[in-house]
This record gives sequence, structure tokens and C-alpha cells, in this order.
Amino acid sequence: MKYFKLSKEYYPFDYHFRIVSSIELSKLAINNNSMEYAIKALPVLNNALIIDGYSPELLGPAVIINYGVGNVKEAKQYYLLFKQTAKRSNFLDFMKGQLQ
Amino acid sequence: MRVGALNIVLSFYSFFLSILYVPVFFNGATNTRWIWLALTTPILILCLEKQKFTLLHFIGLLFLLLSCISLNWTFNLYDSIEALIKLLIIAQVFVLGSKLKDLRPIFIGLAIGITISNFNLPSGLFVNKSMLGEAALLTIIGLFIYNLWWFIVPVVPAAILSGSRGVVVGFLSALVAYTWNKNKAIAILLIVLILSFVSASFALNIGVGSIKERIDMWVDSFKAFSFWGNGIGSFHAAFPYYSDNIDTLKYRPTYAHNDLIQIMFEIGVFGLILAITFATTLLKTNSNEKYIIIAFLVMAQFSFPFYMPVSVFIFTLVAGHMSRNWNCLFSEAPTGRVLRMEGV
Repeated sequence: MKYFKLSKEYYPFDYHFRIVSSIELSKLAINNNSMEYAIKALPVLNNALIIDGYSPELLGPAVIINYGVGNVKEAKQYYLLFKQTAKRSNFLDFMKGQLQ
Repeated sequence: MRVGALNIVLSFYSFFLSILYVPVFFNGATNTRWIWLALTTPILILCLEKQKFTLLHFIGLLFLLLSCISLNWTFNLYDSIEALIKLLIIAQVFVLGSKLKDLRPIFIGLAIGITISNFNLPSGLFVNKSMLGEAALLTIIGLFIYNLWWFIVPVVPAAILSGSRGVVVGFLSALVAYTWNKNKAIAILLIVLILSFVSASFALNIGVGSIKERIDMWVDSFKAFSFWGNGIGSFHAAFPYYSDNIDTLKYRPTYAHNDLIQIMFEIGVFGLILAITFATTLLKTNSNEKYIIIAFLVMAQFSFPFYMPVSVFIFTLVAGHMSRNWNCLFSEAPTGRVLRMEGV
């Protein structure tokens, strides 16, 4: 994780370098169903979303993790953005069911 | 430095550009080439004599200025800065092209470099087969113009076996333009043959894969058009917001696969006008180099050669070289360089 953060710090001009730390932490949290990782991933995700606010790759995990942590209001806001940026995704129907 | 020495330096400069690929580096086939251009081009520019400031320089400068201003309203500042850095590198290559009297050594270096890629076709040291095909085609046309026949032969497999449809269309366009100047009847016959071939391939559904995706992408990009654009380098960041036809979670395009649409998307109406003016100004000249420009512009309608280091290098270098045919906009610049290249 340290190296992922370093990549973002030293070469922020590449999209993949910017998002890799937040994506990997989110994967850890979601795949292990771990609250501990979810709490760690949340600030990293929010920070990444300040720059890449319209990335569906980040918005998807942001909805799930915020919802898991209990930030229902933020989860719904990110869900609306996700709906805007990934209109054709099958994942949208899945999340719709989860949020309801 | 003597003419012979400069030619050797230029050949090595373009040779290394065409072979540079570092697998462990992120985007090792493109980023390394951009770095090479950024490091070496300014040195070459400083070693050569000052040149006149022409209409093409002025249009390019306006485009650069507009791109800088667009940073104010861009979707993603980091992506925009990266795109602006690349645009500055391209501008340097243009200036270098305007200072060179002969492009033969450049094309010889490129031909030797692309020949090495033949050992691992279809993509070779370019990783992307379209990138190799486009660079190979532009090099072949350049070699043809400068009568460097022996160098054409080893480059041809790279252009053909890349299997890029854009390369085929680019080649045919340059061929039609060349034939049009020689014999209009044959050119018309050629156009009819090409159109029937394209119609047949559509009717038989041969080689038409990914066309629907590209049309979807262009339709979505049209929705995002605005007068001032979304900011240089913003296509990747802004596209999902406007996209209705593409599942952006599965495939998120970095380029619009049509450079004019991407320029309109990013830099707006003025950017598009400047780009079209630049291209039409180049095509007005009678020099043979315009066939390289035609092939590049046609390929840019189906692919993204403007964003690939080798193809855009060839285009801007040739454009800069063609700018020598234009008169100076202002009074002649005084030459005060320490290093002079007499007779180059």
C-alpha cells in the first residue's frame, strides 16, 4: 500500500497511478467484508474522488463502502453520480437492489 | 558541427525514437518515447539556426495558448497538465522541423528502427499494432518522396501485417491524392474501386468489427460539445459523464478514435477552427510532403495518431519542414546563435 501511495504522490499525472491505492484498498474491504479495511479505505477513496469525481471505477466502491460504514447520505450521493457516469452498466441494477 | 555529422545525429535521434520500449516502465512504449523527445529535441533546436516565424507557427501558437487557457475549466487538472506537456513537446518538434533543410536522415533512422519491429509483428516494439502500422505508413510515404527506395522494402511488412484498417484507408487516400495530380481519370476510377470495396466489406460483414463501438463513442462525444470545450486532456475524465451508449465500467475510452472530435470535445470551437486552418494551410502547398499530411489526417478520422508519439512526431516534423515554404509574418529574426550549421 505504501508503494501505491508513493506512485500517486510522485506521478499524479497518470490516472492509473492516482486511483490504484484506493481501488486496491476498496477491493480488500469489499472482498473480505472487513469493516476495518472499509474504515481505512474511506478517506483514501474520498480523496481520490476529489480529483477523479466522475470515475465509475471509484464511484462503485465508494457507494458500497459508504453504505457499509453507515454513511447512507454519502452513499446515495455517490450512487446518483454513479448512475450518471455508468448508465449502461449491469452493476447499476445490482446496487439499486442493495440500496433499497 | 558538419552536415554529415548532423545527418548521423538526426538518424540516431529518429532511430531511437522508433525502437524505444522499456517493458518495466508504465506505458513503456509511449511514455519512454515522449521522454526521449522531451530530452533531445530542445538540444537539437538550440544547435540549429533560428528560423522565420510563419503563419503556421502563429496558428500553432494560438492553439497552444487556447489549450493553456482551457486549464481554467478542465474536468481534471492533472490529466490536462499531462496533455499540455505533450503538446509542448509536439510544438518543439514542429520548430525543429522548420529548422531542418532535409528530412532524409530522419526517415532513414525511422525506417531502420521500424525494420527491427518486423521481428515481432504485428505490434513489434510499439506494443500497439495500429501505432506501428501508422508510423510505418507515414515512413514509407516519406521514403517514397525522398526516393529512398531500398529502405521502403523492409518497412512494408510492418505496415501490411499490422492489420490496421486506418492504415489501409490512409494509404489509399495518399494514393488517390497522388494519382489525382498525375491523371484525374485514373484517380476517379480508383475512388470508385475503393468505394465498391468498402460497400462490399460492409455488405458481407468482413472487417467491420468495432465500427459500431466507435460510432457510439462519437455520438456520445457529440453530446459533450460546448463552445469552449471541456479542457485539454479531459476526454478520459469527462467522457463517462456524457456517455449513454457505452458501458464505461467495462470500457472507458482514453481517446475518441477521431482526433477532430476529440479536439472539439476538449478545446471547443476555436480549437477545431485552428486545427482545420492548420491542416488546410498545409495542404495548400505544392510540395510532395503533403501526401504524408493527407495520410495522417485521414488516419486521424478513425484512430488517434495525434496522441501517439511516433506518428505525431512525423506529422509535426513534416509540417514544420513545410512551413519553410511560407513567408515570414514579421521582420526576419536576427541570428545570434553560437553554434551555426552552415549549409544544413
